[in-house]
Amino acid sequence: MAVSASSVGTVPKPSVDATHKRPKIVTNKQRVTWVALVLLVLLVAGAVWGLSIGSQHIPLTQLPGAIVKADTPGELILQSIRLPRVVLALCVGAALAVAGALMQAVAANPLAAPEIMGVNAGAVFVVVLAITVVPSLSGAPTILLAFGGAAAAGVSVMLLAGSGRGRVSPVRLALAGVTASSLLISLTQVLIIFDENSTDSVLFWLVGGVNFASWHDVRNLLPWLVLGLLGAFAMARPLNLLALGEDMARGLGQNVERTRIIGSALVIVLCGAAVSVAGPVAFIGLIVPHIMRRLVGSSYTVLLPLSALGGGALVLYADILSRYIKPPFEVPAGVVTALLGAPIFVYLARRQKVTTS
Amino acid sequence: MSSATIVAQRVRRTSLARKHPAVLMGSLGVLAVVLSFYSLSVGATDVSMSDVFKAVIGDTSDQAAQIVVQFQLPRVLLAWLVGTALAVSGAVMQGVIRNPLAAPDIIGVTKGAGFAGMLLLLAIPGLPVVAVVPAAFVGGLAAAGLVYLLAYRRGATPVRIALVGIAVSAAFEAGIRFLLVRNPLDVSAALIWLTGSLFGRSMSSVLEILPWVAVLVPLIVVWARKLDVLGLGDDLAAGLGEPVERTRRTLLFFAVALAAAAVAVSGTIGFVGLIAPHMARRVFGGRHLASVPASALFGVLLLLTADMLGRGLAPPLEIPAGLVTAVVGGPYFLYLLVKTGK
Amino acid sequence: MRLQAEGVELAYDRAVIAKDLTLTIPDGKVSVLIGPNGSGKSTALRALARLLPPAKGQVILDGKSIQDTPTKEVARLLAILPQVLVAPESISVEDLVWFGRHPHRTSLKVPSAADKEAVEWALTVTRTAELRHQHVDQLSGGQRQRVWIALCLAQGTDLILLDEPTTYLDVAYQLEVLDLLHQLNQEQGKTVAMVLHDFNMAAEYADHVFVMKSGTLITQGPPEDVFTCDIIRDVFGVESKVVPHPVSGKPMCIPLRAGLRAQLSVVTG
Repeated sequence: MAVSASSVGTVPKPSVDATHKRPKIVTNKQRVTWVALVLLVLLVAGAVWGLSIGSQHIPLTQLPGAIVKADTPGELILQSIRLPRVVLALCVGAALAVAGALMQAVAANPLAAPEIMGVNAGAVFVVVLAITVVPSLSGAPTILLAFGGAAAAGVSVMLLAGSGRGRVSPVRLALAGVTASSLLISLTQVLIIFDENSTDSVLFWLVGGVNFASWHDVRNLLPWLVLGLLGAFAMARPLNLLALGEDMARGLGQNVERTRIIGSALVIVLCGAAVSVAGPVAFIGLIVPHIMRRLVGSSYTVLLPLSALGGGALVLYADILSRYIKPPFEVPAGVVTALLGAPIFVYLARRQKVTTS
Repeated sequence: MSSATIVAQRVRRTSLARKHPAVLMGSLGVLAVVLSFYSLSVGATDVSMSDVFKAVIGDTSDQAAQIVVQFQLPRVLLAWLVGTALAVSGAVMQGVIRNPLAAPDIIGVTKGAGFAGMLLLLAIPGLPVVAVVPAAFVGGLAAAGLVYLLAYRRGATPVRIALVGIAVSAAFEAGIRFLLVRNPLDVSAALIWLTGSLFGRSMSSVLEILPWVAVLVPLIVVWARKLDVLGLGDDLAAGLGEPVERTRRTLLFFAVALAAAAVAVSGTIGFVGLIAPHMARRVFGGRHLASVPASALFGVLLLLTADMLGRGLAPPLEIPAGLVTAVVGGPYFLYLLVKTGK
Repeated sequence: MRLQAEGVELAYDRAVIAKDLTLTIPDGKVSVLIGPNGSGKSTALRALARLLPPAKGQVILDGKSIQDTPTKEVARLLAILPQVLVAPESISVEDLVWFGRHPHRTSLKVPSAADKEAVEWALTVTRTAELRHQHVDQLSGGQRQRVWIALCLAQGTDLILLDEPTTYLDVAYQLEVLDLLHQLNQEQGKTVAMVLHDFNMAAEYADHVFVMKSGTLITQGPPEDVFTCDIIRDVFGVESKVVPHPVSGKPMCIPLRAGLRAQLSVVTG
């Protein structure tokens, strides 16, 4: 892999591991700026579009007013239904995308993503279980339970993949993750079938979406989102070092275990919180970091913020698209992300370099 | 390293099964038969054992015996066939992919069959479940074929098959969810069909899966040594004269056909294909000549138990066998975690 | 000569490793392929073993193109011991060696007297018979490698190819394995062709050496002809002094560190 002449801040490429190419750490400031700008434009355009869709036609001139008060019916709808939906989409997308990038760094594995590692499934299961047992549960306790489920699932998958014995190959991780996920999803289905009566709720917990968004949800998510994102951005440099390989990072003075633990904790916080308010929206954590990597390289100082933007945009547009699937009915955004994400996942799986054995 | 004592211990622990595998397998078989008879008598209306015997012999004069033959017998036979199909399919997958976590589900069979079945069910509402079977079977095969094609690049290595299989399964899962969303009329029923159960199946289902099991399972047992050789790695296997790609493709086809038949007939009963081969290997060792038949037996036992539990736990409520296996799968995996996590 | 590569081009996906390579393995001798990393020596061996189809040219075994010969037939003529070896869990030595009979058994046949004889012989010759009931993962590195060689021997072939059979072993085990291969060549007339990393081991044990660099065969011949300062410098990029081994008389190549190189110009190497 050649180092481009116009790049800034390069790190020499270490020896190539046949099973897993170490990431190319190249930062091109111009590119980054462009991508960021494009993403921001997309976000704004998406937000505007999202706010204007709905059964009622509401001119957007009412928007500034809607933010502060809710006098007219239009403003009311904007404020209590559409705006929270857009905001939640952005938040959930950002959380899941950054979580995915973190996970890939910590697991040193290009296929690591919250849904593949069973983390989302774990969070969903615990939350559904809790709600089945205590139907009125919501808010902070739910989120904390989601953390527990996410953590337990994530740890189990790592153990199942045998992470104690050397580097875990993407296959072992994927297989372990699939096993754990399918178990958890089956269990979740058990609970749903026997308890939930409404189709919407069933789909919500199986597929995930922001169509029931309320400011309540946003308020619950926001502190964890902020904590998670700030933590992640602070971890960017240590993660860059980690990408050079465990031994190398240690040799450069990095505390590898601590980096991994903090990284994992952040993943759990971001995923758990996002999933508990929006259900298991699929593939964000897998697709967005990969796309961003292709565009701007693997330096986490750049990758993390851009992933946050990209994730927000993706969920936003998925939510918009989902409303055209079966108008005038609401379709959870998770369906669209799954349909978009699956082919990309297939593409990524095919691209995995494998050794001759 | 003083390995003498360690070796002695290891040999002793497994020697019971290794020395007399036939005896142990025979006992498992007997257990399965006993369980079957018991299962025949349990149900929405309890039937006495004598009636069960009468029914099995063919004496259907008694009304109770008629119940047994019409409702219970197909279930039990199906448990045998589906259990065998899933377990053997799993054993082959684990041997071919060279990973103990491989299961028939990962090559896309389960989700592909589910997707095709759902597609048909939704396209033609009111279609009897029975008619879905061929569609699901073809869907399962097609999905697996797609996985193989996508994984093929001058050969389909186990690693790539596994990864692509997981991805394609996810794609079909997305498709299933999409269908559910567009036609939310009976999400619960659809989920239950997808979940898999032996409920309400008749002899026609039994006949649909029988030829596949009867032909493919003996073939696989005859090919047991090929599976062993593949386990040595592609290079050494080729060096020992095994046409690796071809053998792998054929074995995968066998596994897929078995799994597709099972899913088509009974929905997606998970974890049997994953757990049964594990248990078989732990007790009988890794040589496929022993572990494949043993997997079948464990699969039968698992499914019989799951079905009975499903019926007996909260009558007259029928918990689908697929859910029971999912719930039972959990503790087993915790156990696996403890074992492999060291 | 039974086994040779004729003008082969070898590539993985689109990366070409070797172009227009011709290698003839001398029958009844011990041949060693040496070269730095990336020289294509392992790739060449894999091509000879039918593990890698050549993009151009062909590999000939007993007069026929090896690609046209069915895998099973090749396995009865030629045995390959790859570099990465993973034994199935808790398998006994005897069971592992039995795999060597696979090319001779069809699915339904029970083990024949010939099969049993071959396995016994393989265990005896490699001195692993007394280990036969032990689990392979319990053995030492040298013992384990001998067991794998026994597996290849049980195949009953006259041609044995080995890809870096000594690379991860302690020096005592390296000698154990190479001595065994030497003995097999001398006493049983087996043709042995292997890739070795250590060029001094190659000099000690080889009858014929193939020196490769960047996918090309630089030179070949007996160690005395091949191990010269110039060739070592050209292929491995080190200054060295070649002296005769004090006991065996074979060439020994001693790489010189920076401080000593200046002195070399005074003494002719």
